[in-house]
Amino acid sequence: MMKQAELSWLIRCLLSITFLLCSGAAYAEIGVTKSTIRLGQSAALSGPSGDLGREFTRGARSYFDVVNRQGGVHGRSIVLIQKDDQYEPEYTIDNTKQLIKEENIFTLFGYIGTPTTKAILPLIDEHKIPLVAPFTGAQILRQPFHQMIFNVRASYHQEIEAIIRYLLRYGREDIAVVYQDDAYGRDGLKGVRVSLAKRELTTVAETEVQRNSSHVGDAAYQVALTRPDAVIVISAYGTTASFVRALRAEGSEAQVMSVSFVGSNALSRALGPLGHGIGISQVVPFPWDAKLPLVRRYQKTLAAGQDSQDYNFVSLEGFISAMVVVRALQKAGPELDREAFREALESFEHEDFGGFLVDFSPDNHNGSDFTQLTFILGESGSFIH
Amino acid sequence: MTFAALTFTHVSNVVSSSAVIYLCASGLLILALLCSRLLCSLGKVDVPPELFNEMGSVYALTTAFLIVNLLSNVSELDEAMIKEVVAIKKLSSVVSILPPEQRVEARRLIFNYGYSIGSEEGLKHIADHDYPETNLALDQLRNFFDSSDAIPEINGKNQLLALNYILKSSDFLYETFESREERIAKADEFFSSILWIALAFLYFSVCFSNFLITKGSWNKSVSGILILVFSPMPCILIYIFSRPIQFGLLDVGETYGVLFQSSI
Repeated sequence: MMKQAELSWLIRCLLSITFLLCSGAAYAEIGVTKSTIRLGQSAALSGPSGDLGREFTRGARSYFDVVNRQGGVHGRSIVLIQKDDQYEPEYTIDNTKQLIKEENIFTLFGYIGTPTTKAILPLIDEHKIPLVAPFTGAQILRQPFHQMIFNVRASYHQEIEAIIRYLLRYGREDIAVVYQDDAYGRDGLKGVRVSLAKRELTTVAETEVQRNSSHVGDAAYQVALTRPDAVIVISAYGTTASFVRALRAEGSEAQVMSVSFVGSNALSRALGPLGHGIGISQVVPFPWDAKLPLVRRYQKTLAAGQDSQDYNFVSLEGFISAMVVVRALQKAGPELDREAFREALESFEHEDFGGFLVDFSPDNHNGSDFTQLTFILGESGSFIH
Repeated sequence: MTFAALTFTHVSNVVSSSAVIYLCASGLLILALLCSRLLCSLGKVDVPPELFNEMGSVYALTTAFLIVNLLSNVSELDEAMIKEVVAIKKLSSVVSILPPEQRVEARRLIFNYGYSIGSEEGLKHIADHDYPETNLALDQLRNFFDSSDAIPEINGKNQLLALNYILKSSDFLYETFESREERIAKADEFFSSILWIALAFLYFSVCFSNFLITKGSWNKSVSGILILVFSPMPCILIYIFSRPIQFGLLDVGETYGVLFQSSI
């Protein structure tokens, strides 16, 4: 006669199997069911850098929504599970552990920031889970080569090279650097040093500021003392805006430049009239240049949603990143697993996303070298390119 | 014509200018009264009443003509500003054929120039034309278009576009500079001080003729007060229309702000 405990165990097993079959989740790969593919994202959705995460997600979600409305990828809807890390690495680690262990996501997607992404590298290696389109251009995600990380955007070093080339071409040789005291800022600083060293030049000042801080008066004072022609600021928009205000208050008219991670539109909004003329390197096409099929599609998709014509660089990057993920999922086929997904991404050869080309291969996970310079125009949040 | 939003500065400008005009008018009125008394004390004066009507008509016609003329000047200045904005816009569009680094530098310089007008030159319109920010922006713009950076790379694909750019860019650049000169000239033309002297003399004549023909101190007081209250009003209008930017009749910020409302 069967014992009561054994009977209970048998009933539980039968119930679980029935439930799994009913929900269509009896699929071999984690995060993939017959009807869904679960992506996980930890991003700054609040705090001084919250605009970056919100805008990136707005662009990505708008594309995922279109794909889901059209029946998903091989019949599976894409579900983006988000967690807020406020651009603080400790929260990113906790969020990622939850996403992997509790939310059972298929792949990580669109992490925002260098220190945050750097903090989860051990988790990526441990769980062999892919991370696609992190919103950072840090070298640490590029060198040494990471098999599970797929960078869609150009690196900060490439952006900084474009900035330095422009500044020197137009006669601004005395260049100061203000960098965030973390992996992102130090990576940017290294980029400036490397780029200047190639031309046998050095910076006139290097000053650090704290992440998510508005106490930048000392940094502005030190930079203004050296009377630079240009200042390259490697930080997010909140700190950068505070620095620009402090620098102008010191009487410096130096050309301020920054990289794409700063959050161009957020910076423009934060600075108002003081933002006029600030240069920012970008890693995606101009979101208002409707000549490009990619941009037309992006504008049309946003206009069809609730967001009307509020276009910007960060949401376009989110949109492109979502397109890359969807294209790879399509290529991976209906029998989806992480290996097939990785191989699909690595098969991208001049993959055209409406004028924006992405190249991956088994030994190259840096999808794009695209950089361009833009400048903030007036105080209404417009840009020139 | 773009009217500026009525601000506290505009209201205080109108109040303070009106006070000064009324003060001057009061002075002229008292002077006219004293002169008429002096003349009467020298002997009997018998001035025909028509003299006052004639003087009043001349004053009214003159001020009406000046106001109409000034309104037309305001309208022309507004047109000159719009023409300049259009020229700057066209110049920023035509440089799209340049390679990215040169194109963005060209646009930066073009819009810096526009920004300096909207924030400095257009607001001041001072007599000696000393606008350091705009002059610097203008020099930088000229230097760029004089340099090899303003020349596109010509290849098989863009030959026609490059030719069009070469033809158009110099036209638009010339148009930009010409419309600036036109705007400054229009702003300078407004109202010379000699005309104020003529107006003051006319006003004095009206007051003087009034006191000569009016008999009795009560009548003189009433007519004097009426003249003092109503006659300076056209002068206030003339003063306002001769400074359309200062008094907010033309909104320079908004006119040149059009340049920065769309991304290019």
